[in-house]
Amino acid sequence: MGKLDKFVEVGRVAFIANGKDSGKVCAIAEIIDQNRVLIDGPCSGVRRQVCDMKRLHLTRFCIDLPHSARTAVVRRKWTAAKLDEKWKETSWAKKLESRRLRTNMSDFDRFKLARAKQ
Amino acid sequence: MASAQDEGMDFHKAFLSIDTDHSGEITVDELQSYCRKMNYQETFVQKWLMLFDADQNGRITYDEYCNALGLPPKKDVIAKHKSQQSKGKKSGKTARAVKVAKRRKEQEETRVTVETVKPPVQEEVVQTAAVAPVAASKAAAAGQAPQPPPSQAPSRRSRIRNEQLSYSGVMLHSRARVFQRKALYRLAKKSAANKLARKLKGAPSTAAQQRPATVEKPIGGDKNGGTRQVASRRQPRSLPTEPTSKPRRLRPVKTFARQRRRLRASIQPGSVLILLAGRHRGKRVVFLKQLASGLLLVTGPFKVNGCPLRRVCQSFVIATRTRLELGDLRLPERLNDAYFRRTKKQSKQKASPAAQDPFTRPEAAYQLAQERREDQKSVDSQVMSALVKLGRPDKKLMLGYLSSLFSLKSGQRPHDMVF
Repeated sequence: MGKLDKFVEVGRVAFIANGKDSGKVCAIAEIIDQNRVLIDGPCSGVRRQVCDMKRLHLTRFCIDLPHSARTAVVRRKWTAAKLDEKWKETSWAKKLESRRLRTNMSDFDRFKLARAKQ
Repeated sequence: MASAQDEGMDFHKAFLSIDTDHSGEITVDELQSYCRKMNYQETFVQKWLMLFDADQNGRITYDEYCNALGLPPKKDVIAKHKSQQSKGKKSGKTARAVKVAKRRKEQEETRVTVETVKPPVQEEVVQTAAVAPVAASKAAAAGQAPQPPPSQAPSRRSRIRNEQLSYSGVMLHSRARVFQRKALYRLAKKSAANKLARKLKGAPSTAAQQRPATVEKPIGGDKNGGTRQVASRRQPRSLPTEPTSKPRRLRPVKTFARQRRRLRASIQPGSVLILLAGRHRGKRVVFLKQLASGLLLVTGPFKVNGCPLRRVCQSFVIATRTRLELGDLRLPERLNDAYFRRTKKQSKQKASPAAQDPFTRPEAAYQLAQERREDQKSVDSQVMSALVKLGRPDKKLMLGYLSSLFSLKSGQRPHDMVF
């Protein structure tokens, strides 16, 4: 796994880092130009839209998509590749989840945690 | 040439023709409808009431009318007129008029009972009742007629509709106009004249007024006559030399007792609260209810963390998400603000001067009232039973949680934390 193995290509699964859909994964359906791509994440609740590359963090997953594939095709390929489970198993996703749980801990949860750590 | 007798009859005839429901009294409604019928000016109504209504109750009885005019009341005429009321049909009243008359009669009946019970209170109540309809009518959207409480305000007040002109904030009738048309000046105001009238009637006055004007007080010295008459109501120490006019408050300030109490949505019965100030700061307590003053009633429970049934201010509390299922919580009736109010320590003991010395005098020990013990027990038992319902492991954790103290640790940012 070298540094130059994640390419911006049609079918690349990307993580949206900020904006309305931040925290979700999507697939690149089309490349518009140097900076922008068309993304679509029907299984993760991301509407088909233009997205700037600066907002995306590429993952190591890639699905076999024809370019400009419509949403239904993306959905089919996504579920066939079982990307939801694969994504959840990555330590990236696990870290995100644990961070989310930690920030949402209530006062009682913190007490229980402290007790458990003793 | 009409004789004196006939001329006298005209006035009587006028009364009879205005009193369309044959009640023997002219009400404001009847005056208004007569005014409209004859195309008189609106001042007709007010002037008639001013001139003829001696006891200012909004109804001109036949006797009042004759009195004002100096005419001898014709009993047979009025009796005949009144008898037509039972027939009802002769006056040609509509079904609605009959209903209105009936309702008015019921209101009058209840009004009479209120009158006989407490004269001064009725005036205030009538005033507030009349204010309420005006306010309600102003607030109501087009087409809604506010219903004044039947025992106080007469029905005619509900007929004057004052609508807001399409969300502009501007009302159809100005405040002054509404005042005029509803004849609100008729309401008994607590004027000095009325106060005197009430006093003369023998209505119960305030405690201050019931005190005699002078009190006999003994004074020393053999040559001073032994007693003096002292005025029980003192004159003010100084009177202003220039008239001071206080700027009138455009919006009346509400006293604390009348202010609206708010409660954060995050605070529910059974919620665990973290106390941030006071003797029990840092403790996690269970919220029971909000008292009338707005303060929160909480309990430790006492056996768990030493916090008793206590009042706590909402601002000095963090509401956590944790909630106990208290279910049907039954709090003793006597738990209110007066129950928790601080009592003044016993002042000046009538002991020897030595005992009064603040340094040597023993401090009055706090005596825990028996009722406090009982109430604490009854409330805490309910809270504890809610804990037991959680099941063994959770109950243990919850008890541990409630007995522990809250503190901010290094790296914790309260604005980032979820409680």
